[in-house]
Amino acid sequence: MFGFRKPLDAYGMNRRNRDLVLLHNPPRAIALANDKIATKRALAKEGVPVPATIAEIRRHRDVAALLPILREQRHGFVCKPSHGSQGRGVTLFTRAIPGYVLPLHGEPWSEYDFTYYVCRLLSGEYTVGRPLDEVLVEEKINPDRGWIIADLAGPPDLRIIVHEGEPVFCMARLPTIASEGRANLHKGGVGLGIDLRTALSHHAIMKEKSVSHHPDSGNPLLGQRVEGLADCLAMAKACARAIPLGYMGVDIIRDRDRGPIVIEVNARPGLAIQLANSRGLASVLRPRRDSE
Amino acid sequence: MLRNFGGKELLIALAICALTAVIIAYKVVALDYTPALLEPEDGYSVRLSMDVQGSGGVCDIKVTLPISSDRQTVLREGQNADGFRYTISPGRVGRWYAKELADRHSIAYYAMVQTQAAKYPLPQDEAIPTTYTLALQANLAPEERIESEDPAIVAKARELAPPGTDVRTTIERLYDFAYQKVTYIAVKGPSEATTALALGEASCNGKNRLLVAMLRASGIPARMANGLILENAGKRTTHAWSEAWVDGRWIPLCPTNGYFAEIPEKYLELAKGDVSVITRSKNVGFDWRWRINRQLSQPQRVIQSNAENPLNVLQTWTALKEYHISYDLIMVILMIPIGATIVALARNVVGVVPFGTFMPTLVAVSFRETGFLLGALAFFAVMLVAAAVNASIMRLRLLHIPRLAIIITFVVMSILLFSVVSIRLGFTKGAAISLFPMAILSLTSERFTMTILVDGWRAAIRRTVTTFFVAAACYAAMRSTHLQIAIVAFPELLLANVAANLVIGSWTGLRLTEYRRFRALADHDNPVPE
Repeated sequence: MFGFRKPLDAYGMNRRNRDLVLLHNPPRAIALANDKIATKRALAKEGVPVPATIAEIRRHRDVAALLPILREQRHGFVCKPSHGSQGRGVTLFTRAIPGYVLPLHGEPWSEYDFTYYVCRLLSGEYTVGRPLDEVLVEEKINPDRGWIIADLAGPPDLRIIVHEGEPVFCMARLPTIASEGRANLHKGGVGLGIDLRTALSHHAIMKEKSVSHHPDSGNPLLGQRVEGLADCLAMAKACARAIPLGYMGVDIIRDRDRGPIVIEVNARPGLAIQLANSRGLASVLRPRRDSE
Repeated sequence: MLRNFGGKELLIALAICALTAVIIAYKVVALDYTPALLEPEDGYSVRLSMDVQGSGGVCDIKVTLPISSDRQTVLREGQNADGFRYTISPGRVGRWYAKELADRHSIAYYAMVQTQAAKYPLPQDEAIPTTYTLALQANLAPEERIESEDPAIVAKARELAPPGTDVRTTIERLYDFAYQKVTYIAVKGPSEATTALALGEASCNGKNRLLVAMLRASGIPARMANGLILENAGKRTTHAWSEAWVDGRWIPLCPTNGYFAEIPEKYLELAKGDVSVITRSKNVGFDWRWRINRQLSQPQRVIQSNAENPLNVLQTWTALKEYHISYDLIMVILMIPIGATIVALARNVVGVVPFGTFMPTLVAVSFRETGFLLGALAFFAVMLVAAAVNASIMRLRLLHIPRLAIIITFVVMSILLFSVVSIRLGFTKGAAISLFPMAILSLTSERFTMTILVDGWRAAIRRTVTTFFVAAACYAAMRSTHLQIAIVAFPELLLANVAANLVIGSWTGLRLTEYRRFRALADHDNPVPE
């Protein structure tokens, strides 16, 4: 059968779930990582830089008090369901003025529209499998678009896989016009494999195929240096100390003012990072296991 | 080769398989357990419960019992009654007799029957015979409520089929009159042939008495037949039809439900002639109820053939029958683990993602109730309704759960409409959309609308189709009667199902759908950048 004839370095979902998630990640820790509000508190305690929290909304009756707070925000804000995943339900806003809330993209929302949206988040509409959710309102970060390469359609981020406390894999995710400015691989973003030691990009994929130049700007993708990777790796290690996951994905964005910030921690990070690095997880995990 | 499986899990799975084999071998060899290997046949269990309140005197109850004929078999029967002497006459009349009966007593009669539909060709252009044997002549004479010599009846019979008309045409015309021209009404109490003719409307009994009377008036021996309509139901009423003697055999005619020279599978014959199915002595309080359940007879046979076997867990199930738990239900329950394994295979080996966890298994169970084609139709129709309702109410500002409630309401309404329309159009199977499929389809439609909201239309449609195919695979596995018989005979086979999932659950190879994606990582060795 599949995978029998030739030992594949690549981990599929079965192997990830059984040999990594089930082995290293206790259910409580997974629940913690899936809860953005709780995760943020745990990370902040360990000194990991995270976006500033404006409000945590747990009940529908708290929604009314939110608008006055938002009107005082000068740098924009983000609303997200605390248990959402893959960016579902997340909306960026530039500011709130009396009567309206202005999203980063598109027409102004009336305050009524905005309240309805927050209520939908609270009702768990974007959180599959949960009847209710909480809403996290954060200060919008000021992401550095030019962190990895120039001329991107949106802010890039860095995904680091941490296995038993040590970073083992790193990938930069670059938005494209096709991905609508989001650093999302399955929406058509570019995945850049980063060598942990040299901080240089050594392989790139888009739509699961190898590429060498960015589709929008034509800028070369290989041999690019990730500035401040050492700091990012240290932050990823700190995340592993804060949240007891033996196998985790840490997502980092660089803020123009504050530098690298952890925006999310994932208990079941996707497997596309293997394609971006053109190496299977087995090849980076096995040596560690043998040495134990 | 085995590196993608968990060693511990494989060992446990092997041990479980060995244990299963040992139990089966022990049952077969040491305990002489006989699994029935015959093809299963459908049958009906017919149960008559009678409650009797005695007043101290004689109590005599007679019931005409199912007859064995070329289209009807009584596989097993039995009765249970305290304080009664029970006898069966050669003419298949069961009799419960008590000399002095006081207090409440209950009598239960049980039979397992199999019936077949039958059609009888009628001869063309054959004259009505003028002489019959003595035995048949009784079927030409008038009776109390079959007044075949009444002038109005004779006149009607002559008007419909003048003397000289051939036997087939005569029967056709008389039957058509009773079927089409006499309106069916549900009335209690006796209705005579003459009354039916005068009023132009009659109960089932009245229609048949009129038909029999007219046949006799035309010189064709005829009689009534009494029986039960076999359907999953509890009932008090029996059903009557007629029989005409043509060419040396009795031809069935049902002017109530429109069966000419044919008898459907669901008719179970209990008695010949214009008789009551149940008769009883006076001065006793009496109530009765028929309970009819369709079931596979095979498990029954397996149970019977191993009645003395100490390892026969099915023995317990015979007790469940007391509470009207059908074998069909037990079958469904036994097959659910098999369906669950199919889902595990689909998700972890093939790598497709249907709705819910075991939703496809439950959808498959509901297909079992509705039939596959109708179930498939209902499944996609429900998804369409859910999508349409969702699209049209998205513009309103509704909170999540109430919106889902609205969608489920529309889904349920459309399932009801579907049932009503299919009954109107004569597809009685459409009425089979019962509670369970309704609940399952409503739940699936909820998942469907959730997926539209969260992942978009394409993903929702893809997952719907996936769910359907996985459900179809579950259905195919779960409906295999051989598998059902095997599991009923050897429930320990479910341990092998556990073993199968130990193997699937410890397999860490690439899923079929992932294989293409990651194949590249094995095709060429990538030097590890140092």
